[in-house]
Amino acid sequence: MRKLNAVLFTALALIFIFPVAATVILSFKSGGGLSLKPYADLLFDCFIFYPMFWNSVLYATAITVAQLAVIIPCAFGFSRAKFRGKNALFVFYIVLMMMPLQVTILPNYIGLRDLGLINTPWGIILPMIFSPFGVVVMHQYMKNIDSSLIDATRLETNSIFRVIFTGVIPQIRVCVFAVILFVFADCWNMVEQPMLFLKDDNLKTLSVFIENAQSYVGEVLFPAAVIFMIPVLILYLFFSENLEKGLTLGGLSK
Amino acid sequence: MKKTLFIITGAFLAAMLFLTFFAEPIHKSTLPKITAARLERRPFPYEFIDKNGEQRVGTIEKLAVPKSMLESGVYVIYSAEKNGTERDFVQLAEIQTGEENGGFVEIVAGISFADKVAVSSTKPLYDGAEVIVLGE
Amino acid sequence: MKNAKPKKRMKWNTKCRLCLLPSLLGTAVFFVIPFIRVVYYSLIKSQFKRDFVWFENYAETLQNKYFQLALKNSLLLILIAVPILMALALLISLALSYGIKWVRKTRFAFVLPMVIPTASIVLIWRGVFAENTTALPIYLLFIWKNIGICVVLLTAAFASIEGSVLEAARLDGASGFVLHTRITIPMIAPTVLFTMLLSIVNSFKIFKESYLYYGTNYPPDHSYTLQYYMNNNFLKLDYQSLASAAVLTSILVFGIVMGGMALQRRYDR
Repeated sequence: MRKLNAVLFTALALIFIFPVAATVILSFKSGGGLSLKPYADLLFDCFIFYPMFWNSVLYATAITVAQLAVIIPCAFGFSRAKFRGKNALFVFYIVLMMMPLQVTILPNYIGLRDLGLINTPWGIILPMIFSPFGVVVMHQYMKNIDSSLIDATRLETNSIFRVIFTGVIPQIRVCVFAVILFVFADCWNMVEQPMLFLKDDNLKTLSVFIENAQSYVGEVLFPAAVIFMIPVLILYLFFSENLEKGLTLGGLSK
Repeated sequence: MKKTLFIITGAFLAAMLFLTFFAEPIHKSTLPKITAARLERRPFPYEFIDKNGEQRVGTIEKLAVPKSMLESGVYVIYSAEKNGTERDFVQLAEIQTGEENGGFVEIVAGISFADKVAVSSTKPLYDGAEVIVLGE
Repeated sequence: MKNAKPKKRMKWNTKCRLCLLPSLLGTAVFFVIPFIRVVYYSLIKSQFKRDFVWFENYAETLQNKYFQLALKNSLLLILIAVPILMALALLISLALSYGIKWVRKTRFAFVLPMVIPTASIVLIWRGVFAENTTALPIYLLFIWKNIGICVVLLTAAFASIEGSVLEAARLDGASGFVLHTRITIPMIAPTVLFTMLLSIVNSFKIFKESYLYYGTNYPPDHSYTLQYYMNNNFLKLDYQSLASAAVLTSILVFGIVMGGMALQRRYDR
């Protein structure tokens, strides 16, 4: 049985990694052989690449950081506050989380247009900060934490920030890392919003670059794809040890 | 493991930062730098019959280029978008020449008065080359 | 001291409630209020003649053959791709659960597809499936992307089953197929349901992959899903069709989520 397992595991790992590996290898292909020319073409001939890269980094980082500030208190509030309709509100969050992007994109566009935020970075950043995914996941995780530590912290201070910081966050570290990773990956992957909400090429993100680069001179697509993968991969490797310790999101059990 | 990740991230970001500022200058330093100018009108003699029926020789101004330029090729400058940014290129003009006078050759067709041509260049030019225009 | 305590408790509760405020505000401003406007748009004749026509737009949309095509494709994706995904994930998780050590080490490879940006992967996908004229590339892309998280969730659930139950069942003579279908899977039913729900949700999100893969707003008929319909209406500025389609889609998703949660509640008992 062990042997079958090993074979299965290796085969699967290869299947999963194959597209990634193939992209990397193909990025060095230039007219039949391997060379660095595609990278040279990309890095020294596509100057729009750099603003788009930093935009991706900026948006994803800003959104992730801001999300943490919003969702940790929110999840905490869901788990500790008592008021009528709390469950219904949480169900609402779950439903919102499950909605496909297209349902919310028109409302978002109209809202942003009226606020004058079309073609600005805020038009991208602000709506994504309030994505309900983080709240739902974190709340589920918070259900399983130890109340005693929180109560102990409450005896020392009445400031809710302190309580959350010292009492809650250390316990949900794994969840925080997982959320950071997924939120960052989600924002990094964003394609519809930059294409619909932004007009200036200088504000758009790298995901749009790969769309546009199909018509560019030189084989810049694959190097761009590889560079596009790097930041997310780094983040993933950074958190992977922590994540292996406990990636149990549990069920939606009440 | 974490340490190597930090180093890799730092190196990656530093490289991207460096390239963001220096990729364009580096690219431009490899390009020919040219000075551009419009074609001049030069006087050319031509014969005509005046009202008295006599043959006269007058001058008429025509577009002309120095003969030396014809040998190396006359390159017309145009702007186009390449890979997302606007750049300047040169195109080898197909010209028909006419008379020659005083070191200048008349251009019959192929270049208009509004076109700018490369007058001088720091590197050999070729059809479709990207260039940096230094000004007139 | 006696008076201070109830006061302190009320303050605490209020503070907890206040914690929710930023998120609620943002959600209201960027999702709820605009959504109400969308419902409003779906009930009026056009952006210029804002007379209420109530359900005319809905009737029009439901009869629109493109909407029907989109709906059919979206549902097909849910009804075909998700079960295949679940079956594969279950098989893999079961097989892997026999060697738990391996699973821990392979979690990296499994979650990788979820994290890798789509734009990077579609290039390869297009190269591999260049001559394919069915919806297979999209289905495979969906399975590739999502099987990781499903396997991770399921193996974690398997690991949490108490060994004693399995031992007892094995002693009773159950083994292999029977063991797993009658005992193991029902024991982790909540997780299975959650994973299925997650997969259905992700089947809607596969639009991004499909859009990048086909590179156009009008993909082949077999891949034309609800999101394409809505996106195209948005680009055509046909807000009425878009709004009614959006509301209908929300109702569909809402129904699925509610159904899933009702099922979960039944299993919880």
